Amino acid sequence: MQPDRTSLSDEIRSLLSDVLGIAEDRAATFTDSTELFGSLPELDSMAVANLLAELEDRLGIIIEADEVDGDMLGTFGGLVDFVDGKLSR
Amino acid sequence: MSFETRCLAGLPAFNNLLDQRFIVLILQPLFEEANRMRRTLALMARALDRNAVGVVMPDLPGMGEHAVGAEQVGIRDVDTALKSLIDALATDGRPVLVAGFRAACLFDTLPGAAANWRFAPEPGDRLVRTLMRTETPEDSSDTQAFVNGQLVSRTLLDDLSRITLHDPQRLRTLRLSTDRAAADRHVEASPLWRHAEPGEDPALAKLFAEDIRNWAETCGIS
Repeated sequence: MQPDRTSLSDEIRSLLSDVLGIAEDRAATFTDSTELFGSLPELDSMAVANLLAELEDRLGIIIEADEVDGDMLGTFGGLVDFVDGKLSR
Repeated sequence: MSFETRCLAGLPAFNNLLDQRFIVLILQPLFEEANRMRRTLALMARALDRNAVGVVMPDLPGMGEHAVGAEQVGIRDVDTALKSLIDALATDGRPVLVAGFRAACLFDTLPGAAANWRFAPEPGDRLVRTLMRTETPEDSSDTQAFVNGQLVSRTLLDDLSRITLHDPQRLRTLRLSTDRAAADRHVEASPLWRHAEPGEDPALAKLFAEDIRNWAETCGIS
């Protein structure tokens, strides 16, 4: 069953905390408008590859190369929307 | 020779393993993932060492500080090296338990292994998929891809993407609780191999060591 958006947001906060080494209380402050790629120094290109792989592993989705863009990784809300869309297909 | 020296040498000092009940051959994760897990694996290896279990943690061809780099290695080189190593380890009949981590499990089905233990095994195509996301085409060529900050032979990448995990007879598999795939045990921990920086998890290392010793006992090789 697809998780609701709140549960999915929590899952992605936990995942960002694991992959980027961000403290859980800091990740808990992330809102839809929190900027990610380009604003989080921890999120370099290597970390993006690991983030995508962990998203695939945990959520059972496949992310194609042409789906990774500024909208998807620009903000926390954009990332949640992207994953939500993948899960609903 | 100390445990640390044996590990640093990349090859076991066989004579120092003679008084051990059995030997654990640790296959580290491939490529950069090994760097992020090595400290935890070293803690696990020391815990096994303290319990009179022999430990060998080699750098496979193309990985870590092996003399042959990933830009000139094929999977046959890895297979050949591991078969030679396990033959040498098992010379006096001492059981060898192979503990494979992540995609190194692709190479852990060895004829001389008395039992196998795996943590978070990863199919080759998923490993290659993640690696290729980091490729910088301007540093790559027709025969070598620059991925994760190093040159890797495209032959190796092609071969890795094609080989699949084989389940040996005496196999126990552990996975993270966040992993949906089937396993004998799911454990609560963070995926160290995905972390931006190398870290260590002493509790996970202890759990690994205990689970491996229990599995060896179950298999009657302790």
